[in-house]
Amino acid sequence: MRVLAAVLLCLAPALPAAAAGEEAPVRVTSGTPEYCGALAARFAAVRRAAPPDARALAAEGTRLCGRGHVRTGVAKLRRAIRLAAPEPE
Amino acid sequence: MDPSLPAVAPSGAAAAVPRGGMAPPAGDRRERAPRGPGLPPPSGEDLAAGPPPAEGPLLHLLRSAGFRFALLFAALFAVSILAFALVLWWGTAGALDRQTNAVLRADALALEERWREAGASGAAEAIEERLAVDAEAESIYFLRAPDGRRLAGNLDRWPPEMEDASAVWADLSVTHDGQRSEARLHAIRLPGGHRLLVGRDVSDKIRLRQLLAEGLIWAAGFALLFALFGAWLLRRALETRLRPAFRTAAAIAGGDLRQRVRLTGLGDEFDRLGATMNAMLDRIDRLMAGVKGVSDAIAHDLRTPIARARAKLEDALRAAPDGAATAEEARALRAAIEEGIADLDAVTRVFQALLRIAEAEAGARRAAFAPLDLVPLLADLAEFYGAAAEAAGQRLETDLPASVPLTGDRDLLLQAVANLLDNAVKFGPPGGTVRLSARALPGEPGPAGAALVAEVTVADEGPGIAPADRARAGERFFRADASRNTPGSGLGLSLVLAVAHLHRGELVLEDARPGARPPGLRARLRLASG
Repeated sequence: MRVLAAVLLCLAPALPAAAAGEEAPVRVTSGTPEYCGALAARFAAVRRAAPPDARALAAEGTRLCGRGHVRTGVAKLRRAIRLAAPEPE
Repeated sequence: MDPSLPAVAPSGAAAAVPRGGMAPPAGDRRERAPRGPGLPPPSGEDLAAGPPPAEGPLLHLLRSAGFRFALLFAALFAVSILAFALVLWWGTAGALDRQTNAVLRADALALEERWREAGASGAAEAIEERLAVDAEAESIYFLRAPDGRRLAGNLDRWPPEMEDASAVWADLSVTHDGQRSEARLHAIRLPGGHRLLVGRDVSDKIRLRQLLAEGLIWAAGFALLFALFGAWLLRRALETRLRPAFRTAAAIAGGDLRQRVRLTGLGDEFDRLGATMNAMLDRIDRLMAGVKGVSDAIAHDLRTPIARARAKLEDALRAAPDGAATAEEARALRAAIEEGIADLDAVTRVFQALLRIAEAEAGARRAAFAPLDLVPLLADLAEFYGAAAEAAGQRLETDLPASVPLTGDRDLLLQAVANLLDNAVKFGPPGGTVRLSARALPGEPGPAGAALVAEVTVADEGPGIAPADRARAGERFFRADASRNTPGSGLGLSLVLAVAHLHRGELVLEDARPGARPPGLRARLRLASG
């Protein structure tokens, strides 16, 4: 038992160190409420020229982001911006 | 020479004497009992099972040709499945990977171009624009300043795995919307120490690839099962088809020469192999029967003249006085010795005839073949047998063309026709006519496949040969009941038949006068050239 306890004691400080060495994967930041706000601001810049569908999508996306459905809200805002963007020649 | 005729009897329709007519039909023998003399043969299964079990089952299995064929089949099947899977993988999952790489490379080049046109702010704006319209949320960007700051993009930090400037491509796990997903990343260096990272979330593609891999693995597993089943079927089919040949060979090896390979009637390679084996065994059977027949005949037919000669010599010995003999006793003794010598000469002639038949049947005389004209040869025979016919109160008529060319053995042909003429004179009635004729044939196909070019016919007015006896007339020592009292050894027609076969021809026996009594006998010796 003493030997087992000694081994556990030796390992105890090592385990947190190992966990610290294992770096968390990089994170994609385009799924946050902040990014939702950034997209809403970008759409506002082109809102005047945007078609009604795009406006509706943007409004819905903003509302979803406000209710916490960030992923869906971001997707709708992106679709709205895509619709509002001028067609490439 | 002893050109004696086999037994004759009232005859019917014509019949050709078959080659090796001594053997019974092969079809009869196929139904016979499988056991013959000698030790019991090993069974087909024993042979199919192969070498002794001391080798071990694995080695025995490897030695099986059926197993090797099956293994080859399974290997080919597996290789084809593997090739199919590789092509399918390369065309689907590989195409998706190549497509992702191409998109990333093109996007990075476009941003690099934008950098050159508008600098860092222009490239950053382009990145933000791209992210703003990425409704599928698949794009990943990171524009890093030389000091490590993020100028644009949607990653919280530069991936540590791509810190090294030489790292251009990487597959990494990223956290996207709180969930772990996989991303394909491509990094390039920009002027001024900036670096650009372009990536795509490939989780969906990876899931598709996993589904494809699972499908392929299942398909390969089933294909392998089918391959093994097919291999088992192949091996079993081979063993089943070869088993009759094994069994027959085993029975033959065990001494039962009557066994034959059972044919399926499909006419495939195995049937042809079986038919060839059966033909070979029929031939061996005929030869064995011939040897046995000759041995039996020699033992039976030569015992009589030898015993007779011995009895005469013993009588002479008993009758001879111990002292000086009178002239009468000396003459009797001399006559007995002469008769004994005559009997022994007859035995010698039989042996000579047997040797000649054996030579002709073995084809050993074929080397003596030479071009010849049959007509002078037949004319000489007609002259000789004309005198013999006259002595018997008969007449010999000839019908010979100017020439009948042929390539053959002169001595044997002379002997064969002499045998036919001798028989005709011997069995023809007094006052009867023996007819000798010859003609050239137009090359019609003979029984051995060769073109027949000459025909010699000898016809008499004797009792003929019964149709039932004609097939056996070529057997050595065969004598019908009606000819038992006529001098002869039963070898005359055997030699004629052997000469016909040596010349790839045939001997046809038929009634000389159909419907008449006696019907007479017409013997037609039909010959091919060379």
